[in-house]
Amino acid sequence: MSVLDAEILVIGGGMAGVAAALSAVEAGRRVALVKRAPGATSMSTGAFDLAPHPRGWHLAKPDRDPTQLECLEALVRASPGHPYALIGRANEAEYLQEAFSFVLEKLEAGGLPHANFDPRDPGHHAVTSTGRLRRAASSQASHVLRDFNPDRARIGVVRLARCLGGLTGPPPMGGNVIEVDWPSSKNAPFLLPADIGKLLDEEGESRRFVEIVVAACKGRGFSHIVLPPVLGVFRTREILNELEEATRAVCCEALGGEASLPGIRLENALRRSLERAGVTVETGRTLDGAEVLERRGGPVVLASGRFIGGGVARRQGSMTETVFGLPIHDGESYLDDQPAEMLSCRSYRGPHSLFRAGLRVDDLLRPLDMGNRPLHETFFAAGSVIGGYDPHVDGCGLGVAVVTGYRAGRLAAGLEAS
Amino acid sequence: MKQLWARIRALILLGVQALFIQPLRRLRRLGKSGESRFLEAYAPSGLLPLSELEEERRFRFSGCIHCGLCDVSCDARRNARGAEIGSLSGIVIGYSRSMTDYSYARLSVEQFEQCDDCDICEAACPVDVPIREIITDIREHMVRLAEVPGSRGGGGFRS
Repeated sequence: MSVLDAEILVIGGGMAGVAAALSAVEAGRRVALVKRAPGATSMSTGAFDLAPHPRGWHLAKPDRDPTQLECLEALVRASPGHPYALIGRANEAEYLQEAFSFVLEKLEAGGLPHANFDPRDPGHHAVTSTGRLRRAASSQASHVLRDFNPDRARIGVVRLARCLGGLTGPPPMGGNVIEVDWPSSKNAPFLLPADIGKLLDEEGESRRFVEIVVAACKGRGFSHIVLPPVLGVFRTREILNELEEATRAVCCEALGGEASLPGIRLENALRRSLERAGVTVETGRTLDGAEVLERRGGPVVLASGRFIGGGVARRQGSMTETVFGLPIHDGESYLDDQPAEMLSCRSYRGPHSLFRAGLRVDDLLRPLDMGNRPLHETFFAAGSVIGGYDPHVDGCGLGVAVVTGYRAGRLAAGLEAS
Repeated sequence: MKQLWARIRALILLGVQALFIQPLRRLRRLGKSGESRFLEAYAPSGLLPLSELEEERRFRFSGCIHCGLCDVSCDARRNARGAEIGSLSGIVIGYSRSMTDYSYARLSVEQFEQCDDCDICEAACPVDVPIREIITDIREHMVRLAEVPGSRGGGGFRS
């Protein structure tokens, strides 16, 4: 069966596309998914964020954090063009719980357990790749900074000698840095997190590593030890268990940074979830929008991503959607032919049209034409190809992907009709 | 009068330059083209003139966003222990960090002889960098360098 003839076609294989494919399969449909190459999801940190702290996590006091639902409501008030604002149900705790639980269960079944998600709590603690303390909606289980009491915690941060992408910046809460000279490699000038992860998947190497870390932390009285996100591609849980037993401290990985290994783990788990669900997957393929429109009667979900995924790009000076050539919107107005240089501003947190560029959609996630009409009854969009928000500054990348992906899949399968 | 003698002297000096010194210099350089003199001067530092093809390629080669996904998916690296083989992303990054002497990239290519031309790295690249072309381009450059007499195989950048 050509993917174009599938009952439901999903274009794009990041978090949004996979969430859509899985929720459509759950509703009993036969789904095909086409992807070009890894995108932003494969470079994510390991954390899912629903919405950010309204004033920024670096200003937050650890013991008085708002709930995630409150953060989302603040975000929607500040950005009326945000996808969360369009989907009325995104403000309901039950719906958020449903969408997230669905995706996280699939990931766990695919071999990558995550922290429990509840939008009514502030989220769990985690440490970023620059050593900052923050909260996340959910993360891969290895990132959770459990039992964290800001008044009593003594934090040790492990740094590996030649690891690219290891922790940078001062440790959180006045903690201590523990320099560990492992691995000692004469040949390679630096090692990527995935290289070290592969090495630690070998039992002999991980045992040696645990011994060295335990010796370096002995007698320091740490309650929590934060390690760089390199603890094996597959054996992360085992390695952390060994470390916790030997050090008697809570051990966790920091979130991923450059060349993120957690992002690769997520990409692998998404692929396994698609396999388990029986979705037909084609990789390395870019679809021609005209061909899709010609051959298809059935539902299509476009989840082609934004700049990294390649769903939104600059062609001949102005921004365009790359599969169907649809017009680009920033949540307030269409970008038309404005050159990309005119769409930015000085402040990092300012309202950059460029970084909110994407499709305009209605409350049923259907892309709209310039006359505000849906292009097709069963043509949906999900993830960062939708405009009106900045996944990075707005701190909601994977959150939007999960909520819109889950919903788009169900809409494509005929559920959740208006 | 003094001025007149000064002028005549200047003309004589010019004449000596034009009729004797410059022609003798040209005779000494006879047989050596401008290009070969350029190569003699710059090849030891690894600098070669760029062909039109190389110019066009440089633009396409510079999209790398340093995600490292090529390294992770490379078959040659999968079958070796990470510490024993060079970095594939290092070649692409080294290329974009180098001047036209490709100094950083040459070292990376030498550490990565195991490339057997499958296309897994290019399939994994989010921004479609033509990685295999870069490796070929640098290897060709190294061959051309080695052919220039006195270039010491392009030893301008060696640790």
